[in-house]
Amino acid sequence: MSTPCKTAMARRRPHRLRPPAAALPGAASAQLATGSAIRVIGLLALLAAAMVAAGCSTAQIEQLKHSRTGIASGERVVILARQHHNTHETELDFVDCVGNSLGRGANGLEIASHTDFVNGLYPWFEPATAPLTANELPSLLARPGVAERLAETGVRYVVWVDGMTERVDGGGSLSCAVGPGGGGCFGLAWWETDSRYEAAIWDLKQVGQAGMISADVTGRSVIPAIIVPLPFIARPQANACRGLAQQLQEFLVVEDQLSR
Amino acid sequence: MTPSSHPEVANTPAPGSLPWSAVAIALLLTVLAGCASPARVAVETQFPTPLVEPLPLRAAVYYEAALRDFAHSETIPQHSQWEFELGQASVGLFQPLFGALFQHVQTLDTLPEPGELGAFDLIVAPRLERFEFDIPRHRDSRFAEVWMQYRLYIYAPDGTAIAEWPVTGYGKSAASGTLPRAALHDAAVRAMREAGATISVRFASQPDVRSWLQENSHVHSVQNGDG
Repeated sequence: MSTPCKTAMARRRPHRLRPPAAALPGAASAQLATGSAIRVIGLLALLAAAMVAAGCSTAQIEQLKHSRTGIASGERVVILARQHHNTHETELDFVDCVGNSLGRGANGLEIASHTDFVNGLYPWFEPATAPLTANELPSLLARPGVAERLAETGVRYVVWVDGMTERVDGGGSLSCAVGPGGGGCFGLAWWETDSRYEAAIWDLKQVGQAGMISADVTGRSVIPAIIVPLPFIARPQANACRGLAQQLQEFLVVEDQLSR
Repeated sequence: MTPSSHPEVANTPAPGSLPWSAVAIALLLTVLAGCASPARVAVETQFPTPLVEPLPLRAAVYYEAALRDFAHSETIPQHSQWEFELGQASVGLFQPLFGALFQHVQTLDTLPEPGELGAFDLIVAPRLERFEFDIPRHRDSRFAEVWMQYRLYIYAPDGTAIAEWPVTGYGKSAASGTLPRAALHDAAVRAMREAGATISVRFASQPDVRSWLQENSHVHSVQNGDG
């Protein structure tokens, strides 16, 4: 289905996410058979508006590579969430989603458990003590026992995910009522959700930052209702997870030219 | 004969079944009891052992009853009542922490008289002084938060106070539902981990401890500062 959503192009790999398929014909035909002509016209107009706006997502994935990457057998990746901000916190389920997506499939990478990693290196990866930039890596590795413990984990790449998903806009009105003769809903509600994440990739072998990947996905969800509400829900966080994981896998595995 | 012709028969519940009114009353009472009784958060977790180089010190650690049995009750007006149990978790935080921080550690059952512990370099008695929390009560707030303050009382074997060190910890966790028990538990664990991280990273560089170490010639072996 084509939608009029404005889509920004990614620097390395553009992602155009399709809206979810609509399953309307059954409900719509039932209304056509029983409703009045005005109601049918209203329904069609509403549905047309919903089809235009519903479940529409736009994604922008960007990648910046500072050093050559590549991953050997036995080398692992750990995905960590940045949690030191006052205003927001990267969701742990998003981090799990990226880790699971990276580890899945025939070319899946070996992902270390972030809980085991943080516990094994306690207190150096707590929100208040974790290094904020890769420049702090040498001093961390110089601390007694840290380099040895890192070697034991088998982790070569630390991926710091920072960002959040939030509702940025919304409107409309949807009301439902139930009476002796039955019930139903009428109206239109919509909202827009923005998933914005940034992944900083640190190479522990080269003791520095290997690059960055950012994902910005906006999704517009709509619930039109004439008697029966029909939800068209966009899932920008899931799309951001999938896009980030795909780009990360390519970033870590392919030993290509640098961005700069 | 049909039951409808004898109302007294029709209104008698079948053996083994409850009338709907009784079920409804029981449900209502359960809901009301749930509203009236406080939500309980007993912090239970296993804290990791810090990856730090032990200080060349022999330490005696005393966990007072007020710490071991620490509980906090608070009512959020027009919202909910809460009860926190943090005593065992606090001991569980400090045991591996002090075990990693000092070369030799012994737990004391009672606080000794001055001069009774000549075999040790110092005595540490942690106390949980303050505990505060908040839950999301507005549409825009998403996090359960916990703030806590431990105070470490550090004595020389002769009873002289070396330091009284307040150590704070803060944790937050995304919450869902009206009674975010799991988020508060998670936030409390994070706050305790942060306090533990501060102690394990900064113990030797705490100004009073550092002065004492310098005066007692222990500083030459100390490499555990945060600088």
